Amino acid sequence: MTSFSPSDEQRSIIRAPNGPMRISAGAGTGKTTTLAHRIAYLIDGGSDPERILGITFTNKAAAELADRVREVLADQVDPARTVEIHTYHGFAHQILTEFGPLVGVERDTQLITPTFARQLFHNAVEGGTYRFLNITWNGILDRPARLAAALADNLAQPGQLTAMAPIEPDELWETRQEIVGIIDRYEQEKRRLGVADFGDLIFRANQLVSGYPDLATRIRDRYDAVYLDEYQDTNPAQRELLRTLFGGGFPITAVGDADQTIYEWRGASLANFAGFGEHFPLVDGSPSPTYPLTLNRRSGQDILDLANQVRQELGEVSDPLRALDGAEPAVVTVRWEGNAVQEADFIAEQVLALHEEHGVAWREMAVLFRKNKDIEAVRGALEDHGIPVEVANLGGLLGIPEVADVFAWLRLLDDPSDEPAFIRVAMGSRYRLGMHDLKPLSQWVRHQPEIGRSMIEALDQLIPPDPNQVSESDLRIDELDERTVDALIHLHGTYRQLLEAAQGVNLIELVRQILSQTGAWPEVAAMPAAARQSARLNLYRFLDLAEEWSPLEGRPSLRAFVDYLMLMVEEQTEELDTARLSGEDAVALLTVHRSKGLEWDAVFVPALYEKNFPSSSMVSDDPYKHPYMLPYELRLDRHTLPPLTADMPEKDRKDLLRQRDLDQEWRIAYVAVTRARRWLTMTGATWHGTTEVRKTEGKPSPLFDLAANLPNVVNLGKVEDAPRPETLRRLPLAGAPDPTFPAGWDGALRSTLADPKWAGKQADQIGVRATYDQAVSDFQQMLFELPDEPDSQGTASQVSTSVTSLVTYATCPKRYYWSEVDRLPRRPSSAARRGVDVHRKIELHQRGAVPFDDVTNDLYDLPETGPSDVLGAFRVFEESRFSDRAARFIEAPFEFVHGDLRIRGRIDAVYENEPGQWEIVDFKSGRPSDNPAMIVQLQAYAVAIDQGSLGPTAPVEMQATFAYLGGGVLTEKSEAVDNDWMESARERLTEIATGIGSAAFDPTPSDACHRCDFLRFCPEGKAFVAL
Amino acid sequence: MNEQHIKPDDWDRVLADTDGPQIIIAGPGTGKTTFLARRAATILSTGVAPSQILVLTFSRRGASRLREAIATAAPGQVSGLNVSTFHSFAYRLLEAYAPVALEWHEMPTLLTGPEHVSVVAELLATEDPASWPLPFRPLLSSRSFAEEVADFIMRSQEYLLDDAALSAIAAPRSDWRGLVAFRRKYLDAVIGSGRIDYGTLQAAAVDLAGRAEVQEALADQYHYVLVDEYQDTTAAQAALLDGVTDRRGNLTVVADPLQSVYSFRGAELDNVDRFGERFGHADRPVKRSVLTTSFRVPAVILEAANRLVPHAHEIRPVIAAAHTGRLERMIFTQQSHEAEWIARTVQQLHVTEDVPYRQMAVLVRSKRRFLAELSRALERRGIPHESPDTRLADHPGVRAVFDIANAAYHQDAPVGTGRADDGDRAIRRLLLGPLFRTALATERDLLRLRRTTGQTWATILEAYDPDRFGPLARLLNDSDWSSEKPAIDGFWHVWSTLPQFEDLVMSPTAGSYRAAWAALAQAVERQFDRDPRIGLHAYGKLTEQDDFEANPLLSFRPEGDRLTLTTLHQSKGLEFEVVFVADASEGTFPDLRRNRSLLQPHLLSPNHDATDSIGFRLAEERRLAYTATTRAARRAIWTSTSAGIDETDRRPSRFLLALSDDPPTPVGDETEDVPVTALEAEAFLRRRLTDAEVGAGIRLAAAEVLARRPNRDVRHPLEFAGVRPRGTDTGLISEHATFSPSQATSYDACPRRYAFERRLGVASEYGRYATFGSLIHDVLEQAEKGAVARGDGRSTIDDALEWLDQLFPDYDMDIGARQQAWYQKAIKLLTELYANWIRPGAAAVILEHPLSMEINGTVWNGRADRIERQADGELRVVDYKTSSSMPTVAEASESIQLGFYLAAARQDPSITAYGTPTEAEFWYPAVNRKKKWVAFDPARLDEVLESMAGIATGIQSEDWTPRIGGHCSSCSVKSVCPLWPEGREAFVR
Repeated sequence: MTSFSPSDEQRSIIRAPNGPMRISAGAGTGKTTTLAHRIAYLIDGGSDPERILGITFTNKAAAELADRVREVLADQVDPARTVEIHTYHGFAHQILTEFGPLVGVERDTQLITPTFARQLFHNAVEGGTYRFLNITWNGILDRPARLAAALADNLAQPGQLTAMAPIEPDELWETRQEIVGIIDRYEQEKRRLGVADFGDLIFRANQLVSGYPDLATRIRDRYDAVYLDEYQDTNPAQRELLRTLFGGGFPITAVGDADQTIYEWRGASLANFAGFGEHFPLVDGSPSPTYPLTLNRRSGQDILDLANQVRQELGEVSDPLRALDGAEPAVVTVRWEGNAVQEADFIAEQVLALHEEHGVAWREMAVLFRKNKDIEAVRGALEDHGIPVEVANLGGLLGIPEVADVFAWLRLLDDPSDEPAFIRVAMGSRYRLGMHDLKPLSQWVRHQPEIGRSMIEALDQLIPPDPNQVSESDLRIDELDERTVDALIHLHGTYRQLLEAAQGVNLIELVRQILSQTGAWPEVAAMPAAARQSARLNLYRFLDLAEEWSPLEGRPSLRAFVDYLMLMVEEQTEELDTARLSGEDAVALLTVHRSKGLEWDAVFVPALYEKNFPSSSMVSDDPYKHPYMLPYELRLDRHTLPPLTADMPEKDRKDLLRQRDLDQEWRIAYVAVTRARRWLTMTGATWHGTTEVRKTEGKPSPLFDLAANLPNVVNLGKVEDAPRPETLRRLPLAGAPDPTFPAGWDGALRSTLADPKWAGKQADQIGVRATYDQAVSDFQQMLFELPDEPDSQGTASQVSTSVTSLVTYATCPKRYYWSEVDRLPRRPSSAARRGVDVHRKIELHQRGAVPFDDVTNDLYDLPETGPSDVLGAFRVFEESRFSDRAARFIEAPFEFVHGDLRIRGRIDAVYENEPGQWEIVDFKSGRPSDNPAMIVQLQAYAVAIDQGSLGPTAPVEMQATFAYLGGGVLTEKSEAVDNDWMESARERLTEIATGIGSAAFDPTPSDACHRCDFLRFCPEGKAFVAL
Repeated sequence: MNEQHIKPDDWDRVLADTDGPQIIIAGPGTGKTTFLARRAATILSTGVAPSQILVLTFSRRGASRLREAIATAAPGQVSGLNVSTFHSFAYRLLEAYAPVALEWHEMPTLLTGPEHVSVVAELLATEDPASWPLPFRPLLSSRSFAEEVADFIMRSQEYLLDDAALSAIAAPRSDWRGLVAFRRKYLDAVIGSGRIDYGTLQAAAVDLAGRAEVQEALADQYHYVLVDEYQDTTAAQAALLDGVTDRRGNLTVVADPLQSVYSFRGAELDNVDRFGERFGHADRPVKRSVLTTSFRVPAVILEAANRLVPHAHEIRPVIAAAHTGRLERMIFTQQSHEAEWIARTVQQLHVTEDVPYRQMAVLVRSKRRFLAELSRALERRGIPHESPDTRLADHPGVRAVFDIANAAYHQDAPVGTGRADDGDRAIRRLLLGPLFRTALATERDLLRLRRTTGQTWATILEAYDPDRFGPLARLLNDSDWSSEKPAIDGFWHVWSTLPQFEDLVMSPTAGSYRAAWAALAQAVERQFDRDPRIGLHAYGKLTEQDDFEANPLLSFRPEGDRLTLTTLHQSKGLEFEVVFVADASEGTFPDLRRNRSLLQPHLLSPNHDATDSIGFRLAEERRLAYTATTRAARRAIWTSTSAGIDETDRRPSRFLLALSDDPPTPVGDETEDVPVTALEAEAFLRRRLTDAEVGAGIRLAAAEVLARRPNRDVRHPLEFAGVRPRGTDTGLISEHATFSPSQATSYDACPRRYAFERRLGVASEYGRYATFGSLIHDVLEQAEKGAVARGDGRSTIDDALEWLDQLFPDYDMDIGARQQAWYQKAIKLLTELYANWIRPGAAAVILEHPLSMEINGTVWNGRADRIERQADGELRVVDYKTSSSMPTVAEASESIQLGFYLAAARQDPSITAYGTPTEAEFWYPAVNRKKKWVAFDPARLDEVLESMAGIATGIQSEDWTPRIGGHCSSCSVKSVCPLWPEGREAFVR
């Protein structure tokens, strides 16, 4: 990198002496660049890139750092070498993959996500009995999970918690005990399945490094320096792990910004960043130094002014953020609208204007929300303006119609009595039934109480389950019209197929099948550009979600997944929200929490009315009131928490917690504001509400006011005295009717179907006949010119088959079909039973040495008769005339082409009785067979030899012999091979080759039917046997 | 060592020089297989018999390719030629000489990887912990530790360390204490029980090959030895070659050090460097040649690949093939998109450039997830491809067989236990699955019977429908076949007795089922050869294990034209016109994870210096990337995703970035390309049709062409989303419809929801709250009726709880712990109600009383929960509510329900007999506040009756306009409501 000129702050970091240090990096101050140069500096000084460890929260951050290091080092190091980078969990996981068994973590332990953990909590809840805990609501799964996480984050065991209970527990403690019971069962579930959650990772890794100091040393010795990113978001357990490994003066650098700590509710501890100097002291024990970064390289000064204002709310600002000299000017805009719909429209218009007038790409814009509930209005407005959007939060995701369809299918597959789900499917865009159409079915159901309660069950009762046997007359209900019958039969067929899939495949596979069975992908492809992109992205998002939910093969998880989605619909929990942002070219809609670490050219922050943002939701994490909160006594960072005690009046605790929450809100605001590079737009509106319009007017929040009072702000004004609207629903755009198709494009398509001349007449009327004709011919041309599939099968006309199979075909073509073409299971016959061992013994005996040719056993022929006695058979061989003679060939493999048939086999033995006089011998480990088709085997061998398959030397005379070794005595069946014999042998092979080639597989019943494995499936054979 | 560079023109000269030890360094596409084959042909042409040539390589596939190549180079002369894998060569060597030399009387069975670990695990479990180092003592029962020990043993054998040598190495290491003695114990145990692992097999083979008498015999037998892929040999394999060729020294090996990718399997790169040292003698110096010219890889691909392996040029210069090629790097934001794009590109290449599918391959570092996604994308386009490691056990047909075994095995487990749940799940899957296709209602009936009666499935099924389920029931009842007999016999028993198989066998569309069953039969047969003790149920469990050797589905004609999907490792030695290196994301590729580091077996290697470092692993991953890229003769396409902001985000692999200095190409939405399939053409036309900006003529033309469908592969327009005419929402109300006040309330809140719930019978609530409400009503009615009958003023909590116990079982209140929770909830509510009775002075006079009234010609019917008389004699109508959220005073004052009760009660003679009702109120015992009731304002009675008249008109005229409000949050038909985003039609914008 050539153009980097570090600031003084950066320079002192890059060249800082080796040792622990903390970098306090304000938002956008170029910490990644600084770190990259610091690392380059170390590499320059002789370190290997691989010996530098970086730990970040996301792979994206990790990769960015790696990219930057690569850029800086472009000339020195080859591009595939880079620093070792992990996420915090990934690092712990790595340690456990190496050494986990020492602390009871098996190597195949699977890591489960928080969402998947809810499934286990579901089972854990089911396994208990409760007197105090109300488990009838869905949210119950969340509470024990939180307590379990808090325990792990603080390296505490559930037992420590129960030990704190008073001798006579009050309701709080009784409830807590029940929750701990759930956690215990959850732990058991995890052990049973051999899985670990995120909390376990850190917990066990801690256990490992503190229990085995030499392993800690081994790990530490791999690195020359360690970098910790976003250190303010780490929890106490993570800190302890790092301290054990890299404490005591090791060169460890923590980068962070205390003001961006917004994950306290997820366990992040403010104490970590604040106490770094003491936690990671210099070698001499004195606190390690801190280096600040305050020069912002991201945003314009006006945005930074607002950011600094926000920080003031958190206390004194000693190191205000400054913009780079010559940074592009920033524009902070505020606008107060009458109601939320107008506010959303305003944002949509601004987005359009930025895109069209300033050339800002869609992906360079984002709308950041404090709360999920506010996303919907903005999404609707953007979509109505034809702007591609991507919703990063799950609540919004389920509002996407395409996703709603999949969700409805999942619900219906999980629970056939879920009528609303059925309705969604039946009335959806594929079938478009109306209430009128469904009425007869619904009534029929309700008049047949013994059948069941739901419409899909009724259909299932009325329509044969085998899709191949359905006819329209099956669905006989009065008043059902033809088109409805057609739709319902189709719907039911799809349902049954998916139902079958739902019993076996995992969740992600099921979702994929739903999308494919319902033809979703072609529909998406046919949508207009912006809508297509939104639909595709959001379906992908949903697939990701299902994927995350199905990490364990074969575990039934549909029910739990549906429960989870229902819960997310009712009550959105940030922690469980696993939807993602892909970064495609679409405007991103997401919560501020998810926006951390990201930046955009233009950022919108809507819904800034009082109590919404900063939010003043009810304080509910008082550990001395709520059983699912971890008492402060067990928290490792207790000395930096609000000084709550159990004996303090509840109200005092509430006040303390409220102040802490408010601080956190301002930090969230700080994160939101600093995401923007050039344009930051803050909006609010008087009237809000999700279902109903709120009863009272909303006033600008302190955050809005802060922005509105900035000196350079562009204040687009305030709508005064807005009337309370009836509703805040964005009604489907009536819009201007389609000028070409007043009845809609769908109507046009129906008209064209009904009247072949309709389109032409319309074209005449509008006066576009010429364009129309040209386009019709172009389109037709396009369809005609679609390339044909090249003929794939043409190349595979030669069938390869073994001699054994030829015998099978000669016995009965149908039998050949079931054993070679469309295979069915055969009656068991193990290798020993097949007589392979006898052949191997004979081979060894004959050769005296071992051949090393690698031929599979499948060329040994199957015995016609039952199990054989290997040793007995070999004894017969040893006593036979073959035993003490040297074979010319033994177990000789061959392959030759006859017609379209490539024939493979191996000849047991060829003896040269006299010079030029060869005897082909086929040993059978069983008793003599009376199957006339067996002769084909000898015929094939003779032809093979005749064709030179065993070498250029040809015999003068041949003889072919079956030698049966079964039953204690040798039985021989021998044939002289003369020209006629050869001729008929060739004819026989040709006949078989033709039969196989022309797929002639009709059965030829014979005595062999009695021993046929496929008799049961062969009417002809059964008839023969019955005779 | 002298090194000669061989251009194609010089081949003949070099080939003719057949004798002595030779190493051929051959880069990608330089023709090493051809070289080996022609070398064999040259030797044959000098009159050497085929059986005197031994050709060794790694895989069966490699062996058969070599055999074919030699057959082509020396037509008609290959019968008796020995082409073998190292694997079976070692085994056959033992077979020939071990009986005498080692006094082995039976040939041992070769253990598979997982079996090897199991044997080690079994032995470890019997160890005395005291003989192991302290930290490992708790691990003796751990599977992970057994894996490490197995690995350690394997490596120690590959490095040919006998007891003495191993003791010497292990002596200074405290953590290897215990391993030496354990290995001895292990070896005695496995060999004694007729089994052997691959490491031990190799060591034994080396031992034999080193004995003079064996060397002599081998020298007689084999005059020439040819070896492919020498860079992947282990230390033991190199030593084995040494023994085999010692007497004659005619050894030719081909190697490419840059394609060495199997160090994790013990490949010792050092073997290439030390070839001269090992095989050279003063009288027969080693010849080293380099094949310089690639016939396959064009410059652009070769140069890019070279960037992945620094110093490639120093190792050996490869001259690129003359033809042109392309190297592309594509970046996606989503894996599904990546898969879709690859599928489309494959199809496009196939149909527009006639590239056969078998000339294309998609290669991935790890099979874990991407291939499944890709496979679906290929299926959607009908592109034939190798199934990505489809697990036979996952096929529905096979699953059904295991399910029967499973259910039979769990047959006797008591209902409600984990084992029984497993069995229940298996039965459920079986019933709904392809064999039985049971109706939903039947399945539910059966499940209910199972839950309520606790009988075994066999009993229930036999009684329910003996014709249909009888055979299954008998299978379940006599479960010996599932656990006692060998899996192979168990399977045959199920197969031959269950008639349900017949339909699928005879069905023309069930081919995959037949193939799956046939493959299963073979798999259990192999299992029998390995370990006959395993029953079908246990075998099914085995297949669930991750490391179980997956048996891909057998398919007819695997030689057909199909796309190859495989791992980078397995692509070695193959070539294609077009190669996709897909899913190339950081974290996946390179795979730098450290693993199994407790025992550090790599330290057994004499050259172990750097093998633990990330640098060492990175170097191997680089070679893997190099190898994969150079499989391509024309196009190499690397693809990756770059996406996400969360923990599971992805970024392109550093290798992808390193291939070129230019940035890779981001792939957006490319659907506007010229369509190559009917489906794409259809989408193209549909987009024209809906796009208002393209002009009327074109839109009409699109409609016309879509409707006429000149290409039959385009679907009928009525199958498109949003084209079928929408059905109407009328006709729900008959002339004689009657109305209830609760209906009116419902209609008043939202007419559309009313139509769905009340007229179409779409259940209004997802959950148990409604059922809970009826339960409480029922309990109160019974308790209070009892009290009235007794003449008591009011019932007591004991009455209520007694009734609760009696009635609760009739209500379908969930199961298990949740059922208990509802029960607790009911107790809580009733206790609260009785403890703080809302109107303690009043007594019930009538309970659950039907009310009826006509307003404007419409008849309304309702039901009052409770009529009570206050102390002052006034009558009040009460309605119980079990919800925990109460309407406001204002809302209650104009409640339709309460208004109707009051008005109708005033007209009801059986009530007026007690007096005139003056008040009506809701009781909300479950609310969390002091005042638990709200009352109607009688002054608003007329108003309410008027609004009821309006509602009746609305309903009769079927006006179902949706209305937004607080009720929406609990509305279940939101998903079909145009006012909500999730209620809008999919795909139609």
